[in-house]
Order: sequence, then C-alpha cells, then structure tokens
Amino acid sequence: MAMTKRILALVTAIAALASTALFLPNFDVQIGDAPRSPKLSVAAQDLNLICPGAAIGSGGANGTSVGTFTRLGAASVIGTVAAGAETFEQRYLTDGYFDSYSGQVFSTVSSAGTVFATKGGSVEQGSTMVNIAQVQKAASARLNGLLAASCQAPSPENWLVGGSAATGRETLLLLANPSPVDVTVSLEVFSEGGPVQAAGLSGISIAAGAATVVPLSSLIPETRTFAIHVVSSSGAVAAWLQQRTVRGLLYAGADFVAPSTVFSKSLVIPGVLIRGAADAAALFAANRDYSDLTPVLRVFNPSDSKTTFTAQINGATEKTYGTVLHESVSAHTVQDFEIPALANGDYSAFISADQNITASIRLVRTDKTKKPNTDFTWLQAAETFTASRQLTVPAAGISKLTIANSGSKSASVTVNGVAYSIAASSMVVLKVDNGKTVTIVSKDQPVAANLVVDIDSAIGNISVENYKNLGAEVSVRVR
Amino acid sequence: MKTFVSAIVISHDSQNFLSRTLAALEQQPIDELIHVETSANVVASQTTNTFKLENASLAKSLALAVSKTSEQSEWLWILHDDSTPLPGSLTALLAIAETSLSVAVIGPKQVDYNDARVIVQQGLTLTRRGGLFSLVSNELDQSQHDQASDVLAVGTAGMLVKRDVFLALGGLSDSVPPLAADIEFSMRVRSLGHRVVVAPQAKVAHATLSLAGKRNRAWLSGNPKTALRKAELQMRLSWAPLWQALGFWLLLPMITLGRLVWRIWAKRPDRLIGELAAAIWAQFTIFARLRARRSLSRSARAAMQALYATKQQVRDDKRRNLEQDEIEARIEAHAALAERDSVDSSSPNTEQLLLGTVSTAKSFVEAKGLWFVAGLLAISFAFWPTDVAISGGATLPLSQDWFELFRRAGASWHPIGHGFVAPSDPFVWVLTLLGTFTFWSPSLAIAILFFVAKPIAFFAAFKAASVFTTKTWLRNLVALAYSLSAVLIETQSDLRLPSLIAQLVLPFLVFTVSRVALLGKEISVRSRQQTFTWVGLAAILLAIETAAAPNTILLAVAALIVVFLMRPRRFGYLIWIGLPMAAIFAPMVVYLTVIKANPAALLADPAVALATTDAAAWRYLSGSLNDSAWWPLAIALAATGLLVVALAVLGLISSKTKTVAALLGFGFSALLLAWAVGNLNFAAVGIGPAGQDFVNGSPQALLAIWLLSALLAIASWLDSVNKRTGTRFFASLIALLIVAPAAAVAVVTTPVATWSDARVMPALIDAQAAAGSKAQVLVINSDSTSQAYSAAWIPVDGVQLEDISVAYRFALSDIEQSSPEYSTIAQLVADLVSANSSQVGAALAKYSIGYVLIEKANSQTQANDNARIATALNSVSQLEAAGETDFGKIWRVRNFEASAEPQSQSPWSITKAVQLVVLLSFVMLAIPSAGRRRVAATSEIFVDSGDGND
Repeated sequence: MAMTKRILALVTAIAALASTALFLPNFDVQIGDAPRSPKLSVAAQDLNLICPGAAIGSGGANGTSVGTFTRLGAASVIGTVAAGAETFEQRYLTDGYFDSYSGQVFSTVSSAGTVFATKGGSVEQGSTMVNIAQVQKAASARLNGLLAASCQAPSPENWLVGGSAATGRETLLLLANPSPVDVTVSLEVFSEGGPVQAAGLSGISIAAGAATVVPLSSLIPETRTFAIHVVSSSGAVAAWLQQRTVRGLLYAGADFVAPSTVFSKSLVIPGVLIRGAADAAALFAANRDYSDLTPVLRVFNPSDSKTTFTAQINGATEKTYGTVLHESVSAHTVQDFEIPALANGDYSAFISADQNITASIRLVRTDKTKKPNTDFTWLQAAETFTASRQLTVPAAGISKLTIANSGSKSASVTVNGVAYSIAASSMVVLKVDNGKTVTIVSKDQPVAANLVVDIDSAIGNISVENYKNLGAEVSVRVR
Repeated sequence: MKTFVSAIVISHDSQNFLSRTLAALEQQPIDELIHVETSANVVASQTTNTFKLENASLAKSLALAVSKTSEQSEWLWILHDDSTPLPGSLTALLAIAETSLSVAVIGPKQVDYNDARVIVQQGLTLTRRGGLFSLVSNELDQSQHDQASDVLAVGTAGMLVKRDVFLALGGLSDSVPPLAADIEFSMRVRSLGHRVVVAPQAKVAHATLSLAGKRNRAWLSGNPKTALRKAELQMRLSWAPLWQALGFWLLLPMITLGRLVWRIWAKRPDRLIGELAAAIWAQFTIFARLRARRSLSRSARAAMQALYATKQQVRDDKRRNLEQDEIEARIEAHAALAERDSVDSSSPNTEQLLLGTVSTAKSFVEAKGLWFVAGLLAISFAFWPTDVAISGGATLPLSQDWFELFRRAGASWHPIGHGFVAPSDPFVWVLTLLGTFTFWSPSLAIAILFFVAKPIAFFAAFKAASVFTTKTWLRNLVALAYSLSAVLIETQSDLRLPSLIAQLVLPFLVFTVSRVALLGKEISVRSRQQTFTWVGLAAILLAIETAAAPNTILLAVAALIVVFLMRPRRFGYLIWIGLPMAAIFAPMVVYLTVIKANPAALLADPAVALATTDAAAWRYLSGSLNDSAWWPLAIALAATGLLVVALAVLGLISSKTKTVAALLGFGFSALLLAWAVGNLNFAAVGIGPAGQDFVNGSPQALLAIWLLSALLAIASWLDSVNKRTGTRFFASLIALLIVAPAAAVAVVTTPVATWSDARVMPALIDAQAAAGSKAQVLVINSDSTSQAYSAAWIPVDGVQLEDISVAYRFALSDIEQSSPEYSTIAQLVADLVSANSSQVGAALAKYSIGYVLIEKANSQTQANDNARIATALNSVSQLEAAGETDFGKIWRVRNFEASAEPQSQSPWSITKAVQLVVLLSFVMLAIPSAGRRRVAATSEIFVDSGDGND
C-alpha cells in the first residue's frame, strides 16, 4: 500500500513537471508606467552647408611631393536663398564671414572650401530655404574634368560609394570639419573581398574649422572597387571623394563623389545620360586603357546576408532601349557591374534588391575630338520625395534635369510651374536654364531627381538634396 | 502572654489559590483574619472579615486591611492569595519575634508552590549596582540556608511585621512600583533601627503568580520584566545619595542604551521592551520618584550596604542561572529529538549530540571541503578582480566612501535631481554590509564576492545538506551541484549581483533556520544564548535574501509559517527571524502599496534593471535560461539541471517520500513563481544606466530555491539508502553527469564584467566631486529612430550602485508629469540637442548644471546619435568641449557658478534609525557571546532564568 502511494506520488510529480514544461502559459503584465516623454517644441539649429571647394592637386607643384595637396583654382558656387532666410558665407580658418545672401540666387567662388551658415528665421529648413552647389571645370597639368557637387550638411557618418585606386586612378578623401572643436574620424573600407584592414584608417584628426585630405590610393593601393564608411565619434563632418583618371600621360577625367544617403531595397539613379557611346567604343577598341568608358553600376551590400538585385536601366523614350542586370553581391562587399550596350540617350536606373543596399553609377562622357577626350561622374542613388525640392542650375554649360518616377503609378510633377506626367519607372529629362532656380513639386508619387551638367564635353552631376536640421518637436525624458 | 497576630490575605481573582491559603491559615495560630479582594469578581471563599477594594494596589489593600485589625493586634502576617503557609510557619516566625525584640520584620522561607523542597526565595537584598537580588533562588532545600540571619529585606508574601512599626511607617508606599514596595518597606524599617530577618523554619509555598505573568497586568502596572526594571530604577533613585540619584537620572538614557546593547549581546532580546519602557517611565516621572526618596545617615547607609549582595554571591547566582538556562534549552531540544526520532530511528539521540561534543558526520574540513574550495576558486579565474571595482550587467561600482554608502542605506531622501523623497531600497543595507568587509574600498568587496561566489555557494550548500544527510559524499555532491548549478553560473556571468547574493545566502538561511527550529539530522543545543545566536543569524540572512531578491518574500514567509507549524514550541524564537526583514521593508511596502498603489512593484529587482532572456518553460525547469555562445554547452548545462530534478523526483519512491514531497512541493512553488516573475514586466527607467522602458523580473533567486530544494530532496532520500555496495560508483556517476558539464561551462564562461578603479564619472568631473563641487551633471542619451532623448540629472559624483532606487522607477512617470523642474530640464535638453542656445543659460544656472556628458556609445547607431548631439552641443555658446573620456564626451559650462545649490537633506530619518537599531541588534545577536560567564550575566529572583539584575 505504501509503495502504491509512493508510485502515485511519483507519477503525479512527473505529470506536474511535464505539464509545467509543456503547457505553462506565457503572459505579459506591465507593472508601473514608463515616463511618457513629452514632446517639446524647439527651434531648429541653423543649417550649415559645406562646399568642398576647388579641386585638389596632389604632389605639389611638380607632382612628386608625397603628402602635399594644393587647391587648383576655385570652384564656382551658386545657390538660392529664400526670402526671410539669410546665408552667411564663411571660409575655413577664419572668423566672421565674407558676405551674406537673402532672398536671391547668389554666386560666389570657393577655393579652400566654404561654409554657408543659414539662419532660417520662420522659413522651414530644406532645399526650398537654401540650396547650394558648386562646379569647377578643372584644366591643369595633372587634373582635368568637371567636378560638380551639391554642398552638403555635415554628418557624423558618411558613406561614399565610388572612386578607384587602381593603376592610373587616384582617389582622395576630403574631410571637412566645420565645428569649433577638433574631430577624430575612422574609416571603414569595403572592397570586392569584404572589409579591408589597413593601417591609417583610424584616428584621423581634423582640426576645428579645417579640412584634411586622405590619399586613399596610398592606404588601399590597387583597390579598384570600394566603398568608404566615414565615422566620426565626436562631431559631424562633411566628406567627398575626389577621383581623377590618367591614361598614360593624359589626365582625362575627374569628379567629386558625393555621399550616398539612401540605403534601401528599392533605389533610383536618375540622369544616366549616355553621350559619345560610339566614340567610347572606338577609343576602347584602339586602346585597352579606355576600358573604363563603359558605364558601371557599383553596388554595396552592407547587410549581413548576400543580396540579389535587379537593375533596370530604362530609357526616357521609345528609341532608347535600356538593359537589365540581375546579379548578386555578398555581404559586406561592393562590386562593379558594367552596363553594356547602351546607345546614346537618356536613362535612369531602377534597382530592387532583397537587402538594403546602396548603389551608384559611373557615367562617362566621351568625345574623341576633344583633349582630354573623356570625363566621368558618379551618380548616386537619389532620395525620393513627394514634396517640393529646389536646386540652382550652374551658370555655365548645358544642364539637364532628370526626374524619375520610382512609384508604381504615374506621377504628376511640376517643374517651375510646368506640369509633367511621368509614367511609372520612367522619367522626364529637361534642359534647364543656367543660373536659375528650379523648383520641382511632386504631388503624389515619389520621384527622384538629378542634374547632369555638361561643360564642353566634361560632365558632372549635382544631386537634389534636402538638408534640414530637425527641430520642430523633440521628446525628452528626464530620469 | 500569647502574641496577638492578625493575618492579612490580599487576593486578586485567584479562587483556587485563595481557598488553599485560607484553608492553610486555619492550621495556623492566628488571632484574626482580614481578607481584602481587589478584583471585581465575587469571591466564593469569603470570611467574616472580607473586604472588597477593586483594582487597589497592594499598598492600599494592606492599608485597608490594617485599618480593620483589632487594636490589640501586635503583629501583622501578610499573605498573598498565592502564598500558602505550610504547617508551623507562623509558630516559627513568632519564635524569632518573641526572642528578639529588635526584630520588626520577619520573612519566611518561600518554597515552590508545588514542591516544598525547592526554595524560591529567602530574603532580598540589592546588588552594588542597585539591582534587586534574591539571596536564594531555585535551590533544593538541603537545610543549607537554615541559619537565621539578618537580611536587607523580605518579600511581602508571608511577611510578619510589627503592627506599630507598620503603622508608624505608613505601611507600604503606594508611590513606588509594586515590586519595589516590599524591599523599600523593609529598608525603611531598617532605617528606623529595627531588624529584618528571615526565619528559615517558617515556610510559605509561593506560586509567584504576578511574576509568572499569570495575573492581570494591571496588578504590576505592566509585564513582570518591565515591573522588575521599574523597581530597580526606583530603588536607585530612592536610596542613593541625592547627587548620585540625579546623576543616575541624567545618565539614564545612556545607561539604558548600554543595557539594551548588553541585553542583546547577552542574547536576551525579550528584555528589551521592559528595559526601554522602564527607562522612559523613570525619565519622565522623576519628581514622583524623588518624592519617594528616603534620607539616610552615612552610618545607616553603611549598615545597610553591609547587607548588600557580595560579588561572589552575584557571580554564583549568574553561574546557577546559566546552568538552569542550559538545562531548559536542552530539555526542549530533547523533546525535539524525541519527536524527530520517532520517525527516524537511524538518528542518534544523545546528550553529547545536543552539546555538539560529538558528531555523526565529518566536518567541512574533514570532508575535504577546502580542496573543493580551491578547485572552485581555480575555475573562477575569469572573475579574478584585476581592479577594485567590477561593473556590467546589474552591477555598478559602489561609492568609494563607506560613509556615503551608509548615508544611502535606509534613507528617505535621495540626491536625484532636486531631491527625491521615498524609501531607499532595502538592498542598500546589504551593500552597506558588504562594503564593510573592505571599508577602505567598498567596491572591492563586490569584486571579490564575484570571484569567491562558487566556493561560498559550496560551503553554504554543504551546511544546508548537513540538515538532511550525515553522509560526507552526499554533502559534497549537493554542495558541488549547487555551486556549479546553471542558475548560479549564469547569474555570476551576467553580473546579477542581487540574485547572486540571494543564492549564496539561501543555503545558509536553510541551515540557520533549521538550527533555530531544531530540525534536521544534527541538533546541537548548548544554551538559549546559542539558539539566539542562530536566531540572529537567520534573521540577518532572511533580510539579506529578501532584500537582494524581493520576489522571494512570499516564499520566505510561507516557509517560516510552515516551520512555525512544525515546531510550535519554537515560536518564541522563530518569531524574531522576520523582524529585520519587516523593518527594512516596511517603508517600501507603505510607499509602493499605499502611496503608489502598486503592490506588485515590491517584486521588482534592486540594482540595475536587467532583463532576463525569454526562455521556454522547460529551461526554467532546468534552471538554465541563457543561450551559451556554443550551443552544446547550453544543452549540457540544461541537461544537468534536468538530471538533478529527475533524481530528486525518484526520491518519491524511497522511504523519505514525505520529506522529498515536501521539498519538491516547496521548490515547485518557487519554480512557478519564477515563471510568473519572468513574465512580469517592471518599469525600468530610473536613475542609473538607461535601458528599456520595461524589463522582466529576475527569476534566478527563485530558480535557486527550486534547485536547492531538489538537491536537498536528493540528499534526503539517498541518505536513507544504507547499502554501501555501489555507493562510490553511484556517487562518481552522479558527479560526472551533474558536475562535470557544469564545471566545463564554468571554465569557458566569460563574464560581461569590466574592472575599474570604481570611478563612475570622467576624471575631470570626479576631481570636481572630490573637491566638494555642488555642480550637477546633465547626462544626455538619444534614440534617433524616435527622435527622443533621455537625460539624467545627477550629482558630480555620479551614479553608484547604492544610488539606484526602485521607488524612483515607479515614481518617475508621475514626477515627470508634475514636476516643474523636470519640465524645465526637459526643455533645456531639447534646446541643447537642437543647438538652440538662446534660452539654455538660465536653466543651466538655475539648476547648477556644470557639465554635460554624452555617454560612450555602445553601437555605431548610438555613436552616430551621439555625434549629432555633439555637433549641437559644440554650437552652444554656453558650453565648451572638455574632451573625450572613457565615459563619453563632456562639455563644461562656461563661467559656471552654483547659483542654486541642490537640496541636501540629512540622511537620517526615524525609519532609518529604527532600521539601523534593529539591524545592529540582530548583528549583535548573531555574534556568539564570548564565554559562559559573560553570557549568563543574569540573576533570577522574580522572573524566569536568564534575567539580569546588576
């Protein structure tokens, strides 16, 4: 009898434990309240936009002095400031300002780089309050090409997808620190093989209110394809890559690579304007050194998983057939994919991937009748928007604005008040007036835009940016 | 001529005793009987001279009785209803009265009411320190005290007093406490030149109802212990020279404090209330005390002092009382052993066992415990303290100033923001105690604790196992399995300091409570003092356990109730165990349940709020919740836990079914509670490291209870297996299966710890704190995804572990809504992160903010957020960057002046004082008294053994 009771107790215990292990229900009871973090209204910080300044020549006067960098001439700066806002033009390493602009299109020059500090007053920050860009047609003994870029707001983190450090290619990293304190940055470099370990990538100090140049070609020599992650732990910096190309003794092409700001599974790169395709083919056939005249799509996959993407290069008209790329990129790597067989015409790239990626396209302009006969520019994946954006067209050359519709429906867009309907995954390419402000308004569908500038067969591009400091409402929890 | 004797009997509602006394008086040659009844009840045994005087004192009753005596009465024989004269007693008294004319008061030999062979009192006197002293107490009457002699005083029970002397003195004084009335009267008799003697041949059986607490308390104006102390104080104030009496009165608070300490040291906590009540009474009724003063000439005083107790008499009395105390304690222990052995015939039952002079099992050292300790230390190498402070997980450094630590303990005011009023965590008392071990650097104690956690757990579990088994191998097995249990390893590696402390304390608590309750395989009882040492230890351990893991309170209380039910006779000891816990938790209970109306918050973990991995129920069963970096290790760890449970369950079919079932049932309750706690999400935002809004409860301490219950169940049932064959093999197998995998995991587990010099702020700010700066530091964190920021507003010395407050976590949401200071600080932070410098100056100055700190980032996302804030702060003209530090980036406020010093209040409060007194008392109680002579320190005349009079 006693043993029966014991066995019964054993069975009961096992049943209770098994039930516990298998059927114990989860529940979620909150005890106490979290602080609610009230929303507080604050004025936004004044918006600083930094222009990179003139192109940088390395090697000093004769090109042989290692670590010596000099500015080559000056860049033309052009911008628009809304009425009610005022922009103060400042130069590095100087106190005070040179000039100020308000309610106008303004132009100036920049050599060592310029900070434009804008007080918005009651004007909402964004490109409609202030937008500034610079272009420089560089023509020197060791650097030729059109360098164009939007002036950018500093950021503690910048991704730069472009450039090359292969033989005959030089890439410089230009870092600007507009703040009144010294900043230290570190670089992460990703190549086709993954993250690159190299000496000198960390602890790069930038003095307060100064700029510095890091020669990537010496840090990561012979690296043809890469993406750079600029990380600052103590302040915001502006960053660009400057790439130049030399073919034998011919310096043929230069550009500023602007930061990539969009990481998404769906990307748009507007403004792939192919010109001189036949000349490029002819030059390549004659000289293998012209192998990089084919447009290239550079894809960087920062995720932890391999990504597969599809890039549709769509033409603007029925006469321009595009092409499609369907490729894969391993985790934490960057790869270049040639975009072959594109005839002259206007295109945009629509990319979809299964991971958040970013991409850029190296666009080449070839005219074998000119000397130098080639130039290139890196088009970055553009931010899509459904509101108003403004940009200011450079005073020289031919500027074409491409507005691409990345949505699934037709987009209704006005450009300076003129309405356009853009079909899904299509674009409109407009020649815009030099020295004028262009206002783009997308009413419903998200669109992306880019301005490609062609000055005497040299090209550059100006991205449409909408920099703003957040301010309107901030949640603060005091604990 | 026959001497006329009037017998006076004073009774108070004790019919049975009164009847016996009246009957006995019929055998005595008295001439008249006067009876005064002081209760309201009707007396059945009325005489012709019975008078009622309801609720009258002894003095008034006697006055009435004497007034009713005949004029020719010469002697008054005073008797209480519980003092029955034995045959021939009055004759013996009168024999002395008639032969010695100077004698005015004669006392009988008071014997036990039920055993006339035992003398309970034979004359009274005072000690040199003024304590009441019985010349003979509880001695077997072997005629050793049969020589009649002068004494200072005799008790009123059986006292024969000359009527004219009694009337001349006005009888007993009604202004002195009842227990002092008789000795005070005798001394007054002596002061008139009369003698007071004892007649040993006269015997009165005295039941001492008042002193035994069997009468209505009004009779003594309080409990007997209080009444006794009041009597002593009265005698000091009445009979000492005036200057001495006044000096004594002035010093009485200090004297009382000293006596309270001494009472605790002597393990007599039951005397504390009496000491305190009597002291307060004497302090505030000084004029009434002085009115009862008697002036004496120097020679009269010297004559009286000659009758005081000698030092040798006091020493002998102490020794006797101690022996009596030991006898009583062992009688009780014998009863417990008898009860136990009725169900466990294998256990020894010897006096030697009770005395602890022999043991049926090996000691810790004999069981090679030190080798295990060395081994466990070796595999704890990852926790070797490389600096004085360990941090990470739920642990932060402590203040490097022990007094700062002490300030926080039990405090009702916290230097958070502009000051926060709420009870501090009971856990801070634990930290203070811990920090005391390395008082020069309190954080070091925590760092060392993590290193020695496994050996401590081993020793503790060894002691707990000794309650259930005498087998060395079983004790070692249980100790090893506990010290290498999954839950302990994970708790240690996660740096969950509170849970770790709770787990280390738990087995000790089991052991000490078993000692108090006389439970277990070995019962060692030397004296009541020793038991109170265990009581003190158990009480402190329970307070530590529950303070470190408040979610164990329910189980702890339930366990105590079960022990009460198992050992109702030990109630007098067990009831003390919960007192320190109640003292340190009472303010928090009131705050959270009454003020915040959130009683469930009591279950929240102290220290840094740290979430526990969501684990499946079977993982709770195994005690292993974390996922190891290498999955086979996690599986192995969980498997060892499940094996322990399986082995414990097997015990249900052994001969120890009831014990195993009880242990598993209790452990199962802990398991279910652990699961519940793991599913409760507590508000987590407060002072200290910023984390999630809510974190679930930490079930580790409860899982440790589950595991220990299972291990003790194993110990219990395997202890009953007496087959030696295969025991060694079985032990080896179990050790291999349970201990080996866990040991392997322990070796490869890397803690999340960092060791530092205990600074919690950058050196620049720390230096300001050391210089006594009143500046505050604004610490800003951000969450860019929601554009939200959080800010802490803290003193320059930063946030240490003792600053963290559970109450603050549950009050913060209300404070944030209602406090204008918090709104202003929030707006200040919003302006700063937006680089809107136009309005920040005033707020910075108003709240004495001298520094802004952005804490070091833990991720790139956070680094980006920090950089954005840094950019904004760099743009604020009122701030200047002061550099990047190990703790983050700091900005200094330009031209800082502490315009408004943060509130600073005294850390002391009534609750803190009470908590400190209670805790210190129990710490003293827990410390074994040095020796037998010091322990005793008692003199029994009126109350039970162990009471003291000097």
